[in-house]
Amino acid sequence: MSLTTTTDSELLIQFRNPVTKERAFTSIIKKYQEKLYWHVRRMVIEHEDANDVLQNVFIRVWNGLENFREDSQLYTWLYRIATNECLTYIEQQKKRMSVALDEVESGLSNKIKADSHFDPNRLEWKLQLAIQQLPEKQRIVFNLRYYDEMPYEEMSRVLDTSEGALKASYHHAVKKIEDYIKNH
Amino acid sequence: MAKSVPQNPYLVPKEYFESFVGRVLSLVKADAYLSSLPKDTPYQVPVGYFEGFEDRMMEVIRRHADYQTSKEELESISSLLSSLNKRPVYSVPQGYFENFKVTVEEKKRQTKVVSIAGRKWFRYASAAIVTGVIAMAGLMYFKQPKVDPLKQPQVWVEKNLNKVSTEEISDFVKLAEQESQAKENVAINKPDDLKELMKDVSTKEIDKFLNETGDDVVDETLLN
Repeated sequence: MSLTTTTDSELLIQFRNPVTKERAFTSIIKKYQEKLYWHVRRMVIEHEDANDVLQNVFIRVWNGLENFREDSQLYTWLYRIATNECLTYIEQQKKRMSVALDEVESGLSNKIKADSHFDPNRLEWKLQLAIQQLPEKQRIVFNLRYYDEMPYEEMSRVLDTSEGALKASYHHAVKKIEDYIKNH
Repeated sequence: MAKSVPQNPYLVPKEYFESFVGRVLSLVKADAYLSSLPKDTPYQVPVGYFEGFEDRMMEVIRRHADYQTSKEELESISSLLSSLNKRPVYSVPQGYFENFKVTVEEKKRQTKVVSIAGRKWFRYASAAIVTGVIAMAGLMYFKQPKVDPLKQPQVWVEKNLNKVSTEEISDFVKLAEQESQAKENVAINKPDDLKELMKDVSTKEIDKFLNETGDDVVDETLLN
């Protein structure tokens, strides 16, 4: 049986068995690494930063999976960890830089512009710049809905926010992004 | 070949067959009873409840956050964004995902907190230390060089005088003066006064007194 087709429940059972623990963990990484990577990368922009955060995410998964209560889907829990690690990382960056919030956001925009493939004429790159203008949490909401197409019900569990508030936040974010693209 | 009676190896609960008929009959009767009961639900339904129910239900579903898929939702709020390509614009180093590894350090053992006071060895050690301190203190006290008052009277007096308060010394001096005064008073007493005191005491009684007191030094003035 392919490891990627193993259900999350089966992976959890295997993880809790000392004999199969590492193999199950490797399977979880393989199954979710790309999704989580892009979720993180869209927040922190640079690959090296994304790699650092992703490492931290899976270390937390390793340490916490034993006690995972399964009151939510595994991937919901993973996304929750990844989101928290992103926010923590961004906070640390702010403190390290000791600058105002808007300067941090312009720093992220600069990182986007510094990408070797950056093309200001392409709408996809303008979209990235527009997304960086959003407040952190609204940015996460937008990314989860727009890129990951996550249902609001799941998002509510990831972000511990009501579905109605998330939907309103997303609609508002879409409008802001549309205005930015039209004006730049 | 001898005919062998086939033996059934399986066991049957005691009196199983005796009570079998009764059990079956009670099940049949229960089923018959339930069948005889009316099947109408006694609960009331508001008038007109089912009229327009499907429209009301759709309203509820449309109000639900996940009524639309993300694609349908985006198309309804922004045709611009819904037309954009969602392909990632950021580049990833070649082979990154294939070679991705997580270095997980061994979980440090949680240090078990143990109350050291609860340990026997700690109690024994504490007792030994206290005993040692007392012993050392005693040793130091008894090993102090003693001063002989006959050989070194001045040193002895100086050493012990430190322990006596000024008030005590003053009282002692006063007492000494009083005794000295008393002794002088006695010495000043004339022999006549003594005779007056002893005139009623017979020689026999004096002898008896002297015998009882033995070799104690007696002031000869008392005898005269």
